[in-house]
Amino acid sequence: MTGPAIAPDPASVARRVIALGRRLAATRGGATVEIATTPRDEVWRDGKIRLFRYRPLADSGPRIGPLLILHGLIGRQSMTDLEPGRSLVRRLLEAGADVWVIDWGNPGRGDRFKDFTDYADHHLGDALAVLRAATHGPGAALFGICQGGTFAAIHAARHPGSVLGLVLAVTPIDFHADMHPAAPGSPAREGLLNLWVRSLPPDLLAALVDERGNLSGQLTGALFQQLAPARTLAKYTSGLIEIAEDAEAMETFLRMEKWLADRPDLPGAAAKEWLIGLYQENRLVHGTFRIAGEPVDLGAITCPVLNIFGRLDHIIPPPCSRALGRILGDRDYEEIEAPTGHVGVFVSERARDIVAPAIIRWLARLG
Amino acid sequence: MSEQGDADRDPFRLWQQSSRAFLDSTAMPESFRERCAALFAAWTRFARTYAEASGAAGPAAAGGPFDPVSWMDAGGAGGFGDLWNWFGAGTGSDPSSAGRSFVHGSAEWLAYAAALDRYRGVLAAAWLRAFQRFAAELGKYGKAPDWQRIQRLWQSAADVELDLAQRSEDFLDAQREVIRARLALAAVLRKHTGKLAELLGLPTRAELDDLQEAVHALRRELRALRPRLDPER
Repeated sequence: MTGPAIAPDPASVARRVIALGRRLAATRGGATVEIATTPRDEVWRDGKIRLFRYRPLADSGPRIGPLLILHGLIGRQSMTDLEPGRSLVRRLLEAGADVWVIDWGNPGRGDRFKDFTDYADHHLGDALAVLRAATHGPGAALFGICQGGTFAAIHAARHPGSVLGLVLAVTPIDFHADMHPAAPGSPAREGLLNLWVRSLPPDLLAALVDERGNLSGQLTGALFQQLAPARTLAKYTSGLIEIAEDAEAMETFLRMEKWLADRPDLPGAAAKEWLIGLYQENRLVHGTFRIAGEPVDLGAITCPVLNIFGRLDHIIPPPCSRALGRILGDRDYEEIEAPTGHVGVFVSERARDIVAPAIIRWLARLG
Repeated sequence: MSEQGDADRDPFRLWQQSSRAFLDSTAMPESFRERCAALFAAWTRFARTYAEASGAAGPAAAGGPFDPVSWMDAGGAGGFGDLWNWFGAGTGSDPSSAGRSFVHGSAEWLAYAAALDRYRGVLAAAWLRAFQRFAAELGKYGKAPDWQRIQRLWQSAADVELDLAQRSEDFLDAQREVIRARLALAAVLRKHTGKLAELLGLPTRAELDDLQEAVHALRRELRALRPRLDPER
């Protein structure tokens, strides 16, 4: 298997490895790697939860929006502002959008009793009330990402008057849609993560969460890596050597690593609703998912919806996101497909000219 | 295949070692700081090892960073061993290490060890099949292709085999059992820790949980009262 044709030039490899070592040492343990640098101001805080408003970048000030970004607790909202050249937030601000973002903070064991009612209803409702007061307007469009999109859809269904529009990105709605063939006659392609969660008995899932109180962010991160182990392995070995002398690619790698390493825990009660109520029992599309004791009816969403999904998303299979269109029928609903995976929707060059322009156009139409 | 020694001349054995090392890890890096530090250490060692090997015997004998054989050094003596360790993020992510002395020999420990071995076995077999698929694909070339193509071939082979394996009922069952056994073991550890806390007069985890549940319920009640206290809101 070994031979001169296989191994690259040793001098080139040595040079790259030295460059890599220097760059990694220069991060001083990550302190010099900055993400989410677009200027913003904290407007409100409730415990660990904070609401920020970005400073306008367009000369004319905000013209469209407001748009409130919310990620879930599986990853951080900083994904939309990873680095200046690839920042979705910057693109929106430059187009004149009034952009806000919720940071859920780092839930600890003391937050283990928080559930979807807390996040999708109470905290999100409080943040919207603050936003309305600050803008003297009727409300805002919500931009929910992944689990944050599920929060946003639930909120829009329960409080249609306070949500002017709904942008969803890589958001699971029908957690069993991956079990059905994409087209008649074609085989179903189950999402690996969906399959894993469905294969565990509910009592085992509950025990897994109870053992630490919350669903560990480190565990979810490890599971995502395990979905494609060969890719993970290559990324940290040969992939690193390839980009060692490319300063820009290296910066992007380090910023992405910083984001990946900062994965919050999902509070225990919310985690059980997520894993058992949604991944296993698919309660949201059956109308049996309860918030504050009442069932959520996604059909009650009345605002315009823009639904963005990644064609190659291996974490949230596209059919699980696109199911919302089926539920909303002929209402004001639009889909955008990005030719990327889950995270690529926000950072990939291939999505750059698709996602941000679509949101800007949609926001402008919203008025 | 030899059981020990001459591992560098036995790709299949090396492959098994590397698979084992990967599976031994839990891929739970603690923090970005640790990631960077570990990567720096790993690549520094790798640079030294690679330079020495290249200088001594030339690239063909030394293998190369893109030659799968060199990925298999999981012992920690050469650069990639550190990377394997980095994937594991040290002993802090080993769920069993903290209380191993308490439970060695217990029924829960034995059940956990057996379940873990089975889980690793299912995945190790998949890595081995991936290597066989990769070797078969590589064999179709008249002469060795460049390293980029080799890497693509390897990743494609591994992606296919690991995806198949991780969807199999054998894997899903092994996964269920290792989680179940791991939780049972953790319960034993908790019991010991609870006794120690009691002895020292410290609040137990269950007592703190009760307190936090009460605080959460109170916050909910306060929220329900808010409209009455502030009708303008």
